[in-house]
Amino acid sequence: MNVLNKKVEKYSKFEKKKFPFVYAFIAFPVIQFLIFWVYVNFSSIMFAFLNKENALCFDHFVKVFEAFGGDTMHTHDVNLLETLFRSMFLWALDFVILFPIGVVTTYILYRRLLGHYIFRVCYIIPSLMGAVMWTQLIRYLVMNGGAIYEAVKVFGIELPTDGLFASGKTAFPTIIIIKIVMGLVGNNAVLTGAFSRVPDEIYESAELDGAGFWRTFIQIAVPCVWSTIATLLTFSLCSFVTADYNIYLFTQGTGINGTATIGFLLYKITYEISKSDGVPYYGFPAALGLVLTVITVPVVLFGRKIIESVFADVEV
Amino acid sequence: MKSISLKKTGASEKITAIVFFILFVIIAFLCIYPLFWAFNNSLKTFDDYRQNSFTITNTWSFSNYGEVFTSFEYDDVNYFGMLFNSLWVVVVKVFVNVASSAMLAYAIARFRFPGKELLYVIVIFVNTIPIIGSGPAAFKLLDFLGMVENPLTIWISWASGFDFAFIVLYGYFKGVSPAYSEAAYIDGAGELRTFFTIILPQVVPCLVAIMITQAIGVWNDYGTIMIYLRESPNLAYGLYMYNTDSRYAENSKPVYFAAAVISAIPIIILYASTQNLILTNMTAGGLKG
Repeated sequence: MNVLNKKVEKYSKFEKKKFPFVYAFIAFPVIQFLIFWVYVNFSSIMFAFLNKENALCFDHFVKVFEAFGGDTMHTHDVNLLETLFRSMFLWALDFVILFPIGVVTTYILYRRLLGHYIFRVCYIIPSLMGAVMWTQLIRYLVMNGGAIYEAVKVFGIELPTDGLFASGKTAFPTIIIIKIVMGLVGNNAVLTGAFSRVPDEIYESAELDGAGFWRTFIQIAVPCVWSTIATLLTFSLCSFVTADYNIYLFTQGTGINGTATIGFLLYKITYEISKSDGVPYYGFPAALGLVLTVITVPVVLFGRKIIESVFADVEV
Repeated sequence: MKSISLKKTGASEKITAIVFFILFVIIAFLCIYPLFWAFNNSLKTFDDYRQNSFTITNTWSFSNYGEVFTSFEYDDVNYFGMLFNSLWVVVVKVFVNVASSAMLAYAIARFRFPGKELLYVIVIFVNTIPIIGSGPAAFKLLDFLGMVENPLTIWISWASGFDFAFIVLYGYFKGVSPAYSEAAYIDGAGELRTFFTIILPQVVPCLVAIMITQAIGVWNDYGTIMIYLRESPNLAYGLYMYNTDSRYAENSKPVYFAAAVISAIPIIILYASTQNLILTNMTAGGLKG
């Protein structure tokens, strides 16, 4: 929908007659949005600039920049700059490496490789079991004596005696490896849906013309679902620094040993506020959120520009 | 369309099929091993579990599953209480979210009205530009409105129509031919009747696919419960706290694993039985060409 360049035509009588129904229909979602998105974000911005006496101040931003400088007083003992880099690293891993591999593996599963149905059910099991159970079980497996711990030890690697999450040297690499292994196989429902909407005749005519598997994938399948890929990439840009809050579960809410991410930190701060008996401190997280938004929006817009230039004619 | 096969004569296709088949088998093993490990330990006595949690059980102690229903509890809420909380949260959250998205998507996709373009731009903006750090402000608002720990009103905050479900439904509503609604109008149907009896039935597979996908996420959502509904723990939150809270004895681990396995089974069955429906009906963005 190219809304910016479209000249609005006059509404017919028939269309005008439908206005009351349309506005009644959208009233609830729009009011809900105004209260729980617009007001919430507006008040969050206000918190960032106001002190306890509701006077304009920049103290919260000073504290945020102190936190970037290494002060961990308001960040639950985690280094903010390292945390930001860690989030960016995990996001880049997702965006640059795991997503393209996921497109390939989703396509292979869609092309009904032997055992595709069973594979799909197996790959979805971690999501079905949920982050809570999955991370708890992984924690047991990387403890001293656990299957993964013992398997790594076979290669003669010196490991911390309390398990792989107990040391700064092994905790984050362990999370990265788990993320890679679990992210290698794409079982993306939206992408599979897109592949299945490409008419079989297109694949068949390519195959009749002698195109092999990879050529069909690159020159037929991917171009046909470009708009879906672009949509998914654009949406994943939005999770630039907020993803991976489930690390809360790996480190039992402590974020120790160099495992904290921005998603984790923001969740942790909200959780602590929800538990607080006194007057919660909203200024710091609001200012932190605003600073992170200012950092990430240009990156996201730049990413969208690249996606739009690569995937021409895409409507997102 | 031909499937990719291990028996293909073309060398490159055969190698591709073999390499990916091996990779898929390894990753499938890694995905199901933790569940198998939990199931195996759920059948052990505590002494067996403590001795070695990686040997195959020889005790087959199914009594742990019975104990889940009699002694597994967190903060005085037993397993059935947590199960009930999981169920109502899933049903209410998924319904209000999809209903809100469907109403908005239907209006924007099928009607011309002042503000339509602006609403569409806002949905895209909300979903593609990250606004970070509003969690504490959201908590403050819900606390002020009395929605925290209040199952009767908190659903209003879940009824967002401006999310990914909108994107999927918008495409589907746009794809339904206008001829259907025009025929309904000629037959005297009003707008509501046209929506509920003509348009909605045509997007039911898509609605169900979205609902099931969302239900899986909500069933396993501990984050929302941990902040807004701690007094009504669902299974995900209860299992997490049971495993981390020092008040609960270490010697109940096999019971914990039994509870974890039981909790995963309904959602695994739901997905396995609806997999094709989900995979063929979830799509966003159009097709080129």
